[in-house]
Amino acid sequence: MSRFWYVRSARTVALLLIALLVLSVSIAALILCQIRLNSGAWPEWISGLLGAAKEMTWLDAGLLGTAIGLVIIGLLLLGAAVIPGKRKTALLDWDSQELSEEWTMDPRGLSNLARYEAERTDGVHKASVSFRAQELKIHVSTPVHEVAEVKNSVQEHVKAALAAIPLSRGVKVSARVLTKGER
Amino acid sequence: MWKTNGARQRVILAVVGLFLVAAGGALGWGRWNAPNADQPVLDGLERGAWSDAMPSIVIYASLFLALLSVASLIVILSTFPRKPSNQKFTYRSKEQSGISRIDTGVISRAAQDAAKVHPELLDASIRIGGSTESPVLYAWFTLRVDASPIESMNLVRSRLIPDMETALGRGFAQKHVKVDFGFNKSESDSKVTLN
Repeated sequence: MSRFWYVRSARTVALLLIALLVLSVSIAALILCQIRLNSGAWPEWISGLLGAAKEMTWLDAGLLGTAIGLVIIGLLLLGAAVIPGKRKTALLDWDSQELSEEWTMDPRGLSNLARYEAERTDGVHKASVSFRAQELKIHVSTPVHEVAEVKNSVQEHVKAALAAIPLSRGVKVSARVLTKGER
Repeated sequence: MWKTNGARQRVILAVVGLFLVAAGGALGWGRWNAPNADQPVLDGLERGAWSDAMPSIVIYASLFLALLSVASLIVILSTFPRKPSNQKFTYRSKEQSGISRIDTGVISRAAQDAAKVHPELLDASIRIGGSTESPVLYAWFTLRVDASPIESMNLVRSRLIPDMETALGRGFAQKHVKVDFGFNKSESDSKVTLN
């Protein structure tokens, strides 16, 4: 069974930028070609560029810079294509290749659940959550000065909520508590 | 957001990357290995012949640029995420000669509406693909963050999906399910505090 949800991130942004750049350059060049065919001469501003290109030698710094730039951009694109991105979802215990069942959880959903449980905790004014590399980091603000108790309560509540979800890999939970007004 | 074709995008990026590296490498090779490096790069082309052939060159270049523009447009359109398309399932009667056709979009919409009736679910997005003999489920359920997570997930697994299979008349050959948690829009900022 091929996966549908449990896949690595696609390189959509990089491809979109490259495609838009190529599209705009090719359309501009197409318009210039049409002007050349209709009028028999290149527009004045492009004639200067074409003249400079004809006079360019192999020793020109511009040519070397162009070569280096092309290689760097090409290597960046190759790297983006080859290096695997992170998974977009987390697998649940219910997932089974034998039964052809793919069960996944959206990391954003886990963050929402953690934020809800953190904000429900006594003493918590506001919470924000980030989820990266199987670790949930919870940032909490509280009006209470005894932050240690609030921190322990938040961690316990969130861990209890996550324990109820049949995730195939455990998630580490860490909380950072700031008194309101602190930064 | 539903799925884009990650493998295809990576292949296109790799091809473009290789082309750019090759082009940069060719320019670099020419700089260090070309004889008469202080002469113009386009030296050797007779200016007169170049000018005479320009209209033909421009026509061929226009065709190439038009193809390149269309290809870029296709690549841009392919980056948009898509949902699996609905199918038309044909059911043949075993006893009589009747045929029934069902658009899986109808069943998907009915299943989405049925799911949203349950207070534990905020949203459901369902597509049924595959074939009549091997239907495939693609589903994305958003559960309320203030409901019991495991009860909500069991509702999806033990009731909503089996109900869809009953409507189709057979079990799903494949199930691809994503579960999400979200806030009820009217409640997300209505927390009461003593401050």
